[in-house]
Amino acid sequence: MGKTFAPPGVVEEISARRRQKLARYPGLGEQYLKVRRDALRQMDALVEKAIQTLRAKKCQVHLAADAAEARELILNLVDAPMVVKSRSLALGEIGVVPALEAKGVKVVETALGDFVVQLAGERPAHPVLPAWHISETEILNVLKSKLGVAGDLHRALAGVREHLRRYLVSAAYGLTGANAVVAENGSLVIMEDEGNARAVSNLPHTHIAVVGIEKIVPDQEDAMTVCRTAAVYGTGQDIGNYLSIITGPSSTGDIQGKQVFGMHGPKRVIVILLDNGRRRCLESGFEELLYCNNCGACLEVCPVFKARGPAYGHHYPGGRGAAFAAFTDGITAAREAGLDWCQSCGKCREVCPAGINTPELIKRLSVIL
Amino acid sequence: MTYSKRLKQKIAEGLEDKVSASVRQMVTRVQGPIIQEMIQKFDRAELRPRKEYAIGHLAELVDQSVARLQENGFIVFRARTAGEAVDYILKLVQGGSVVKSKSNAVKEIGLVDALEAAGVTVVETDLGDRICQMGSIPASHPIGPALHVPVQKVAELFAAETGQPVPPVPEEIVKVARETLRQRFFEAKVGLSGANAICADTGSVVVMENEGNIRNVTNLPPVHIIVAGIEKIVPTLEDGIKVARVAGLYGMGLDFATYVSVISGPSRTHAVEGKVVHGLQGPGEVHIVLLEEGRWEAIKEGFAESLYCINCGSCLGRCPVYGELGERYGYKYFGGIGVIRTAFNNSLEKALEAGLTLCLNCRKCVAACPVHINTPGMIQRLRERAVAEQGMDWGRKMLLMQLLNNSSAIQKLAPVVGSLVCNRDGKGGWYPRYSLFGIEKGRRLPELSKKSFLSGAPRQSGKGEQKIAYFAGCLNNIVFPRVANATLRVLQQSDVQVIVPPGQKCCGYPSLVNGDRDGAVRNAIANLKVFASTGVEVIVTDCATCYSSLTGYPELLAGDPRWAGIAREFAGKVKELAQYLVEIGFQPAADKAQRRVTYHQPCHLTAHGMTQGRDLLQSMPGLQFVPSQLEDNCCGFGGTFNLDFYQLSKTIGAHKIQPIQKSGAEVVVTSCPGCMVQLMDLLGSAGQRPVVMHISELLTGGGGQHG
Ligand code: SF4
Ligand code: SF4
Ligand code: SF4
Repeated sequence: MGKTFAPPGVVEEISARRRQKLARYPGLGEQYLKVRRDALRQMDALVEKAIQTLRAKKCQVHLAADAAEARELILNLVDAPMVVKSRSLALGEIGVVPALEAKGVKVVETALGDFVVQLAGERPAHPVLPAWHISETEILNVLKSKLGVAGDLHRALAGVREHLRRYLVSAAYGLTGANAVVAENGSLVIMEDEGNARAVSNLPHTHIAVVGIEKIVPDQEDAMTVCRTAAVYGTGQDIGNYLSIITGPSSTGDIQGKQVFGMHGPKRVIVILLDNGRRRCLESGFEELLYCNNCGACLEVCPVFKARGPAYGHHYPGGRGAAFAAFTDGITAAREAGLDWCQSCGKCREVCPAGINTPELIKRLSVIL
Repeated sequence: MTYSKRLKQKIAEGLEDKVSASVRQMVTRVQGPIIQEMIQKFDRAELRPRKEYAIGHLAELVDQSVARLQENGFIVFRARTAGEAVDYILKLVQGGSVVKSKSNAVKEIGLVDALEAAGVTVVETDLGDRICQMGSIPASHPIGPALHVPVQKVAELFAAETGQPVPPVPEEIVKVARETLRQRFFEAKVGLSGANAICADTGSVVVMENEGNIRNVTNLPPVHIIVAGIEKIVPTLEDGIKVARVAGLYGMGLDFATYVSVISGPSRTHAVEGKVVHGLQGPGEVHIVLLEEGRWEAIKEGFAESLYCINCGSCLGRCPVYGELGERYGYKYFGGIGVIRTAFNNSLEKALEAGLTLCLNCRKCVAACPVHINTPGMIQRLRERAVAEQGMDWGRKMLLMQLLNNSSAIQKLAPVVGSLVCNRDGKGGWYPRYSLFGIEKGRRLPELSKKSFLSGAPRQSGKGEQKIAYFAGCLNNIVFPRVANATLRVLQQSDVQVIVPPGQKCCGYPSLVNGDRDGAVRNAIANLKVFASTGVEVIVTDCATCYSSLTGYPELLAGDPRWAGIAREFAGKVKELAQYLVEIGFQPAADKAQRRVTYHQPCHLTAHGMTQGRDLLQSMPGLQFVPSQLEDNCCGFGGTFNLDFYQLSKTIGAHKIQPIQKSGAEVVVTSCPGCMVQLMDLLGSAGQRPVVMHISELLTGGGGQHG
């Protein structure tokens, strides 16, 4: 593509904000690491507990062994011509969007960045900021040519809002990921900034969430630590703009005390817990790879990512993403994702909230594979 | 109209309104046990210290919140008064429609009326609230406002709204409601909500619900306005989550409500060159009105505890007065805690009208509260203020200072005078022919004993090494000397010397709950003097209310260095009769009559977690113990409450009586002469079974009677 992967100033701005927020929350990284470690070391118990509590809350739960199984589940469920979707790397991992499209189902991205990338026919460049490689001018041009919305950024975005609303109100299915699953209460925790994930998970009759099993944490407070960390390290916010903690389908008991589902929110919540190599990753001594919360901090400092952009990585970007691909898609995929490009500079490790030692992991992987 | 006339009117209306009372009582019956079970399983007893910290540091937390909220892009308005809050919002909302979710703060400031007066359409979006709004039906319950509306009626309301027939089936109605309200969400210019918590560190607002309407209110209109009292501020995001968890648990019996949303500013994106742009799928403009009205005053004047309330509503489900009167007990906020908040958000006069005098001091609310707010304690302090400002009426003064003043002249005259002004039923009941001291004429009272207990009690009786003292209390003294005598006999059986110190006074409880703190202090000091000279290690009382009162002396006298230490020592010696008997390993003799007996647990013992009375009965050979449901529900006596609000007291008592009768017992035993008066009135008026007995009467093989 031959582009710089971030418009000038963006990286500096985000890292300045992050530094400021990190000073506010000293010890956040260690706290995060502890939560993750403790959770991963009791993963089987947590998976079992989560399945039980989610079901008790009247969610339908599936444990999908691999991407194909998760994908098929969704393909079989969706019986509508269109679905709305919010930002989720797990949804990308299972490849559900092309599969739905192949079946003739229109998939509407509702997060601005993804929407722009979809319109422009490009690939997301960053886990949090998928369109950060596209400049404002280019974005305005795409919106103008594809949607017919003109004017300055604010006007254009108002046009996007209205355009997407039409899909959001009429969609029967909403697809999301989740930042955490709370085992104690059977809750999904979704963090975002735009409010699109709230709409996707509240307006359609059926909400389908796909979440990696490594995202299960024991309680709500742990989930908050996960979200805080993702926000502070991701875009330098104290916390994402919206946290939706969803515990079962919408219900009311206001008519004669009878519980009826689907009041204002969905009538059906379907949770697909995704293994897809995670257990194997854990069992073969690569627990560290599962500490990642996709904040993207490492990408800003990685010299390879700077040069190659999203080509470095697979479903998940950068060196850690390339290594993780070995478990989700096999060694060939990992090599294609650039496993051998890592320069072992260790810069990513320094900025990672969990201190994931990506170069070391990559070295170990290359030896055993 | 004076406040008391207005209050009496509200009580009359409340007692008339059987429909909503039955909804409340049904919800408590059905939900109560579920909530209890969930609390057992999920409560972490974590909130009190967090709220203590938050309210203790409120000034700095308000500053921090304001700064962080602003940093996140909220437009913050600090409203010193409700009026300022309303004015600010009226300026923001010019015509059009507003979708609204449940909010106490919005109600507190009377915003809906103000908006409607300004020509704005306000649409309730919680289904129950919407049903009440469409049918102009008063709410019957804070969580299920429309539970009393028949499904047929609900269907008609939605049929009228849509112009389409709607089948009277909840599922079908919900479908229609979802669709019609959806349109309202998309049309609305403004979404209006409250907040369950505000997190100072992340500058976030926490809201919780089950329907998903709040998510729409706060996400679909282009402008969102939040109204919240500053007491909602907590230090951290995690604290905000705890508040939501506890409110769902104590309010609805859910380990976590269906939707907890944390909102940290207007909808934004960083997608375009990392810049912050507002107003994507969520609102581009979010206002938060932080309401200060009355809060600083409450803190300054020593009522900070009232601000620990998270409005979970748990206390309401247990409060006997709220059970009967519903929202008429309170003003903008309900129940005892609502009365307290009224005193600061509005005025003491308003608090009186809201029912400051209605609290029975049963302490059910304290036990039900996740933050253990001492509502009756604060109510009592407010009563003191009311008495200081308005004085006490003559009849009440006479009652407290004379009739309950052991060995006063009036007390000596009372049985004679009483017998002259009352009819008798020959079974120990008096029916006053006139109303006096606020006692309604025609009600059944136990006959006053011709001779008070203390005037003839043996100063010293029984044999043994150990010396203990007996505290009789005024009801035993003037109404039930036979109970006091039975207690003496029980104590004598246990090989101790029993001293009945002369000159002992009323414990002071009636004065205290009537706002006469000085009177209570006087009695307390008199009792401390009398008992100090006896040199005993144990002081036994057979009155649950006296027990509560005597063990409360240290708190009552905490500010008096001369008496505080003595009071502590004294309180350490006080034992309730059954407590004492169980401690010394007392073995009750067999009940020769082999009676079927049930128990009424006085509130004043429940409040101290004491159940020895019941335990003793169960261990009594020969006796058939038959438990009655709601054993620890309040009988509704409440001391002078029973004089002031006789009908209300009787209605509360009626719920107590039913399960007692259902138990099939021949005798109902209790440990408080106050409860006895009430039970005797309720059971004795109709000459019904079972008969009422004090536990010491049962232990001494007594026959019991209704008088
Ligand atoms: S490896 Fe670390 S820095 Fe990189 S995205 Fe994952 S958590 Fe963030
Ligand atoms: S003490 Fe009893 S009567 Fe008073 S507010 Fe509490 S529950 Fe209600
Ligand atoms: S006072 Fe009542 S509403 Fe307030 S927190 Fe306690 S139980 Fe809940």
